[in-house]
Amino acid sequence: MLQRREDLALFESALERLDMDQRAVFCLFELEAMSGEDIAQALEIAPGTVYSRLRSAREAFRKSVRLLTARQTSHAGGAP
Amino acid sequence: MSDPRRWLEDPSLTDDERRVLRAGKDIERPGDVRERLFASILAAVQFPPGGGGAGSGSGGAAGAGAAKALTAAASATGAKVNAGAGATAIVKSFAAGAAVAVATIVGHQLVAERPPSAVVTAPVRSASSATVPPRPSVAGVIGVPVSAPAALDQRPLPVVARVIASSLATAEGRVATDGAAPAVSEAPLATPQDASDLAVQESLLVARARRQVRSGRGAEALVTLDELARTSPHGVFGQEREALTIEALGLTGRRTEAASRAKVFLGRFPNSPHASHVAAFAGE
Repeated sequence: MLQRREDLALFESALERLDMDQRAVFCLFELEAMSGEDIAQALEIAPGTVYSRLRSAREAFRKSVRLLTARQTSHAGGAP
Repeated sequence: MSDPRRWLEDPSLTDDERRVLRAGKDIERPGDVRERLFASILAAVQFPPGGGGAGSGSGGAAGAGAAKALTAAASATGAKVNAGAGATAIVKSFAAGAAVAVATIVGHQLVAERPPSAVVTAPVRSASSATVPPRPSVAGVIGVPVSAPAALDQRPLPVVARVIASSLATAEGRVATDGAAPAVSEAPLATPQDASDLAVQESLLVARARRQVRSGRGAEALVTLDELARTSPHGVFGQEREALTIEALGLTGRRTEAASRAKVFLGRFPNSPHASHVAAFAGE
């Protein structure tokens, strides 16, 4: 339960570090399971733009998770 | 171009990444929270930071109002739906972004903050559509305007709405209401299946009307506004709808009618962010 809450907090923090365009595509594709084509239509952008934003969002998300989990680990390790 | 596999199915994901992403994916998103999530996404991505020239002031103002309402709505939802807390945070993250994007633009008093009875609901007469009495209100729906290239006006509006609505349905494991993938069609979204459909429809119609007014197509705007008055008589963009109606009437030469409605508008909403703009039409 605690782990899940921490994971959720990490998720939210990582999400906040994405810019709006990345965040929108990331949420719609990864969380809402929309297709790239549907996202393109809904956001009125080219499908290629959807995929490039998704790619950059994933990279940014990955970096954030790495950074945040490392920080979490070091905090946990430093606790008395 | 085919979609990449969902990230959760990607073997290259580390355990940490998978766990964190799974936590976000597993968030329970009740229908109303999801509706706001979609609305907030649209609000956030359609109001680019630093935007807001003369022509976009109205949209930006509405975006600010939408962001404000989204934040309030998200807070309210989070308070009563524990399972939706995570989703609420996501909504807030978008709402905050939208607020930042339009922070420099004048605030907007959402009609949703007033009782529905205060909303101006006078239908618009237009050459191509008869006046139809307003339908009952669907309260509590958050909609946001969408700013898009003028060329979008030529695209069938319902498609975008249905894409979003059907995705919502599909993602929830329900059968899509129309039982098929969204089809390109000029058929209006005459009978929204639920509040989500209606919210999306309202925001898209407001956006369409705004684009038509801004590009000087008053008659077309009146048709759109007429549809809006019929489908969302007590929607969240009542003030903006009426302000656009006044402008559209002015554009089509119906200055007396525009002046009359402008005076009523100013009497009802003296502090509206649209007041100064509407006042220009009040003097005939």
